[in-house]
Amino acid sequence: MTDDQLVERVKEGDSRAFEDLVLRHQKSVYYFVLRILKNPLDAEDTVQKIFLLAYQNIKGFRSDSTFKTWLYRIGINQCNNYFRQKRNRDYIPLDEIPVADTRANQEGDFFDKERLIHLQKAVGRLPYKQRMVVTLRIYQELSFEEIGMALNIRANSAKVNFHHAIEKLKNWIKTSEP
Amino acid sequence: MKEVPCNKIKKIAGDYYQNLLPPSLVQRVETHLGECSSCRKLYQETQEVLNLLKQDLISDPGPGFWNGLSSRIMTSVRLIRPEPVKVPWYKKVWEYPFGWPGYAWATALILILLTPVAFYTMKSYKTPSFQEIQGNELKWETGFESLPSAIESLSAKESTRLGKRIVAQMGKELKGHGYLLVEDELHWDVSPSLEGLTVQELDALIKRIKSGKSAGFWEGQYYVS
Repeated sequence: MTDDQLVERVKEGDSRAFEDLVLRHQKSVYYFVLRILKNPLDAEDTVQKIFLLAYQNIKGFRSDSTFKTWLYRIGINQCNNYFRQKRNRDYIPLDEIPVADTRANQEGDFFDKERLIHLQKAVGRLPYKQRMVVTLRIYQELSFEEIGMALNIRANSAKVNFHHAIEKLKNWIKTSEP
Repeated sequence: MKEVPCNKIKKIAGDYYQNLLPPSLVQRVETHLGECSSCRKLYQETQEVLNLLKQDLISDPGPGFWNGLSSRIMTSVRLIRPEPVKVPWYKKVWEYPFGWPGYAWATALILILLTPVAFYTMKSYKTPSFQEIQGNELKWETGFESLPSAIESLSAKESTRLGKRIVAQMGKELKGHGYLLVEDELHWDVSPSLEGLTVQELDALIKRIKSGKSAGFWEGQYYVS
């Protein structure tokens, strides 16, 4: 059953259909929020809020975007709210995030691991919007059109932001390497 | 000699890295990268960053975490009901013009448009009012008119005013009034007011309104003369 069909069933009052949507999308939404908030506990709370908001407002969802893009849009708003509310809070530094560079661990490649840490720091230095675009493009694999819809910007603007971000990362990594 | 200059390749390189170029352009870029070492270097550096980004994976917290997360979401979802869609007022008026807000807005609009027209019309059709009785004539804003014909053409308001003038001159309040149908037209009848007058008062009035002058109709439709 497609997302659209499940959404229609939820609109008719079928909460089981919503559970299917949660199971289908919770991983990608959680990973996205974790990359932006950099705090697993807050990410978990935020994901719950995102799905709750999606359920509460599902009758207002129109099929001019996909359900996934709509979820990311709610997610982005919730991330913005999070930073607005907790502006003075001390965040867990980027290198303390329990992210696993699975591939480096598997191969035991120390050099790659070092570079990955440099990259994570560089990504953390990117402007907020560019970080969002890179995350949505690289990790959530959204098209630039979908990123534009989620961030409420034009697809071309999303593309430009992405390329600027990649150029910055390239330069920062180059200068930080021994 | 390069087939395509570097600046043209740089413009489309971003789309090339993201596999967004049509096959014809992909061929051009790849030919250029084969020929140009500086562009090839830039491409390799970008590719390296993109590959590195893709390696930055988050460890999977395991099925227990996902089951817990989804059940917590669903527990909170089951405690609430979906909110009704909030439609802004202007959309309601636009999409449901025959709902009560539509009618309300339409009525308000019509009233707003018609009010000045109504005022203008009332002003332009205002009838001149008489000012005073002078001898056998009524003095109007527009000139003089002899009493009998003037009385018959008076409006209810004008008749009442005239009646009050007469009463003022006679020193007595006249009471009661109504309409009379004369030749298929309604005329204001001041005769009931005159009924309350004494013979002397009536004589005095008759002297004031001379020569076939009328203050309306008597019973039996005779002129007061």
